[in-house]
Amino acid sequence: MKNGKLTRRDFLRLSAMTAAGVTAAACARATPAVVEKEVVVTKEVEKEVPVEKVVKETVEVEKEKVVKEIVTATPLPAPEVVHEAPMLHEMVEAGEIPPLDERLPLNPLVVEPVEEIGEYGGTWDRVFIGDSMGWWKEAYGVESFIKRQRDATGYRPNLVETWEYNEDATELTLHLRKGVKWSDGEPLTWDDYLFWWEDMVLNDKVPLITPPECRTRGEPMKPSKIDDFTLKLEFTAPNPLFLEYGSRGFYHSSWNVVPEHYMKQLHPDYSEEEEPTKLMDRYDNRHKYPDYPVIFSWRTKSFAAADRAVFERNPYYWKVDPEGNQLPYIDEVVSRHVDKPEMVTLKAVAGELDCQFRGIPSVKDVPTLMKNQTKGDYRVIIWPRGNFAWPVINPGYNNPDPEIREIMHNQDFRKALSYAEDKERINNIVFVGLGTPRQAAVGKRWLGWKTPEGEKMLREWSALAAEHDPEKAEALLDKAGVVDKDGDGWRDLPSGKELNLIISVHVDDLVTIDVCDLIREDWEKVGLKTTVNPLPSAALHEKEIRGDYILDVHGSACAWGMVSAADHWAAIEQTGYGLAPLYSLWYETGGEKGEEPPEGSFWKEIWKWYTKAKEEVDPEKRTEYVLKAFKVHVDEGPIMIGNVADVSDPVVVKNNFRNVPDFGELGSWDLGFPGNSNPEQFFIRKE
Amino acid sequence: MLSYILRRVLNMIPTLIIISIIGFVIIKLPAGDYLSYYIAHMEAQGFTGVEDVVQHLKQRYGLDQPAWKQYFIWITNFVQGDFGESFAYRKPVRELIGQRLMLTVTLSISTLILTWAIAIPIGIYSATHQYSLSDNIFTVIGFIGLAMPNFLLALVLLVISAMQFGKVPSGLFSPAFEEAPWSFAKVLDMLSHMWIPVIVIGTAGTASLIRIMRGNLLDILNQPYVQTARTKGLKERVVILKHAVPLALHPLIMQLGMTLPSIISGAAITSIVLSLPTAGPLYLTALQEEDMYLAGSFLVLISLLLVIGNLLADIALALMDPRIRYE
Repeated sequence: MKNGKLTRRDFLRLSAMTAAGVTAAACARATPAVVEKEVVVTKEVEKEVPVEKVVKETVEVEKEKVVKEIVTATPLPAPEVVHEAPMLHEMVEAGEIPPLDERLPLNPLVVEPVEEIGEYGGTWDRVFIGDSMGWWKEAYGVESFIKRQRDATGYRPNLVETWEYNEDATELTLHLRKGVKWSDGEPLTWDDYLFWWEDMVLNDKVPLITPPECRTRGEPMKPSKIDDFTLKLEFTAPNPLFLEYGSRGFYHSSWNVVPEHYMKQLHPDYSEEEEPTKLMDRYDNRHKYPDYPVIFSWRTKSFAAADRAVFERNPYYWKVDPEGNQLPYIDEVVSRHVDKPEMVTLKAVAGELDCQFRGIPSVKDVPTLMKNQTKGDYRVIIWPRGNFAWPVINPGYNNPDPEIREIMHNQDFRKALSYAEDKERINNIVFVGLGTPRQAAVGKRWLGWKTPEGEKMLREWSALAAEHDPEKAEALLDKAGVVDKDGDGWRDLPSGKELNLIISVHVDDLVTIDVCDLIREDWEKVGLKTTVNPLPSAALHEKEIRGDYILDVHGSACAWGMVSAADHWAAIEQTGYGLAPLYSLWYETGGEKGEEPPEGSFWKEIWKWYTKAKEEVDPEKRTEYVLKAFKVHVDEGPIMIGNVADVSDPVVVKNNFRNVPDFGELGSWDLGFPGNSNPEQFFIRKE
Repeated sequence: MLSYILRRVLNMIPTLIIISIIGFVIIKLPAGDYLSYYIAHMEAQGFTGVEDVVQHLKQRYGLDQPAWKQYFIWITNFVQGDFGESFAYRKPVRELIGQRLMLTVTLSISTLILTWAIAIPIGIYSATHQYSLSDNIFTVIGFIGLAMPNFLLALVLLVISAMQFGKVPSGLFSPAFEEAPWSFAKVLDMLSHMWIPVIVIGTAGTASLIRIMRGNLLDILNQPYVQTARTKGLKERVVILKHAVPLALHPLIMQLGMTLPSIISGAAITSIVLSLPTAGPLYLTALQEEDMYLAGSFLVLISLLLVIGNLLADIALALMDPRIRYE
């Protein structure tokens, strides 16, 4: 109903609602149904790690409320209290779906609204770029076993209600929320998870790898089902972070629970399918299939690739607000495809977007967005990205040329690169002053930094060769033997060979290319020949996993202690964005593939502490080990070179779109925002 | 004539084969393939360790085979109408292209008609009223239209519309009609959205056509046969429309043959800026992501249209001008 006009769809919706209301009033009985149900309110957990300490408190909210209603409502045939959306209530009356209490689990999860109890209805208009719809999955698909708190500190129960570890964290018992149903009404049990594990992960016909949290020392976990809602997992070594690792983004435990009854129709072992292609496509792209049952707040209604996708409320969603109203509040979500980021900004300015996360191309748009707030009737909420560097510069530690390798392993050379950069200038020009120029100390909000020792180390690491000092840079380059030998004005390698610092960067990452151009100017001022080389994804990734680059950069790099993207600082997995891919492969495969780093190098020191931390049961000790690994970065660093950190991200929200919190952390996919802000309790206020 | 057409059609075959080989080589030329793009993309989203999945896809799509074999498999299927499957969308290429082709063709043909409908009368008027005030005005407008890049015009229209009217003219349908089946109302809705892209895409074309039409007609108006016609006492209208204009249309018809492929790819940049669901943006992303079969199919289709377009233009010329003979 934008611009005050009543479109045909609005009219239909309105009339449907009116009709529903009239029907509801007409059908009302004298005695309203008393919903006998316990509503569990969970207490927030203060700390990130000791998940065993979750305390629960049972509060009978609903029963009390309904009793009050009876007292006032008895004399007149008043409408019964409906705790579900009008469109669903209509379906119940028509007998299309079972009544609410048959659809909800025994203990529906109670979600505290951010601002207030919402109202039902409305369409959430948003846009997406590309085909993956990643940020939509990150909004509605984060239904992991446990979930991060809205302020990104500790965790709270989600699909798994309670859990216990044995003493050395080699056995974990998980209690599934009883009575949760798939969006087609089928019950959810541990069989659905075990189907994924036994028939997909462990089945050779299905190309799916074991996620890192499900293996310890290379051995897969051993699950045993006690009953439909109790599952015991055994590990060969302590695995205290199973749940935390599993709650990263939408792609871990939330993605691993699959509808067995649906998947069996496509599995080569149970159906006539010979190839697992269809199965894998449903698994990877479940959001594209309207018939795929989900446990998310909305389910797919229609999907047209690179065009338009519509999601409608899941009638079986298992969460309620404190008054017992079933969530989500919003009826439908419509995602439209746009080709270029500029279009997103324009649509935001014109007030055509209800709520948009991470679709806005860069922090540079903040002034434009702010200026047009009144005209477009929206507000701009600034969320941090929590990035430790934009971009992070990974030196070519695995470059095929041994001379490049050697110079990159030279601490003076790396320090010189960092001193030569004018990080303040980059912040002012590219990030309109909204970031912090500093060294690449990872994850500022990581809880381990909160200890006195941690605070000191964070300061040291952030300040490491962070100031702009071209003279110091030149002195360090001279010391490293990188001097101009042939008199062409550019510094050469110690052997006299020409040195050209080629920066490989993704061709679509325009913000990072801007930064690289400024870095090039800075480095050229100290006599280092620099070339910025933008490459398309495929070509860039080929270079990256082989380590075949001199300098490789990634925009908005994020990591968080042990749990998120440790590859950024520990070289443990061969990824495109991680450090030293060949060394990483060596660690990952236990020395089978890749290359072994030289004896006594900082790589092995970091690995030592990382491995210890991974299996440590005591959270305090774990933090201590991680800090030991970070100490190596301070002493030997910068091992990766940072620029501007803690950049902000604008979130554009229409003024009548409510319950969007003021804080979230959008930089890292692993942190699971905006999913952890509970989009199911967002609502649109009708004016 | 018939043997000429036959010869031309036969000639088309080796041309197309060569084009498809060159195209395939160019698509395969950059390092990596779609799957390395896929891994990079998944990693950017947080997934790690997708190598197993990739290994499986490699076998399935035959990407572990040598390039010549991949080409051979693709082209044999292609001539049988199986264009292969797009890696990125995991859908048959036919379906993907088909979805967008109709809108693209509608958009391009409307633009073409509009361009011709505006350009030819103005061209004729300008030529017959050379150096008059109105001719000069049309000339200035024409040069502006020629000089202004499409995408810039599109952006300017977008910004004005967003800032002044609070509405972004993107896509081809209003929200109410996006899912509706085809109906008269939906066609009207589409037309109401189409005028912006038509203007944007058509401006440069119209401007250049006006210039060409004007130049040609001026040449022809000085020919002796036009003088003869005039001396015979024919009406000026008849002299111009019947005797001069058909000859002045020659270059336009030749150009029409070249326009045929751009029906698919021509308005790509404008479509990207305006977020139109046409084939152009799809072609571009297919090339960027090395989505081999999708990009390859586009390439061959476009070449096919180019070759056919040229043939049609030649035939049309022969029909229009009896002086042209083909041996």
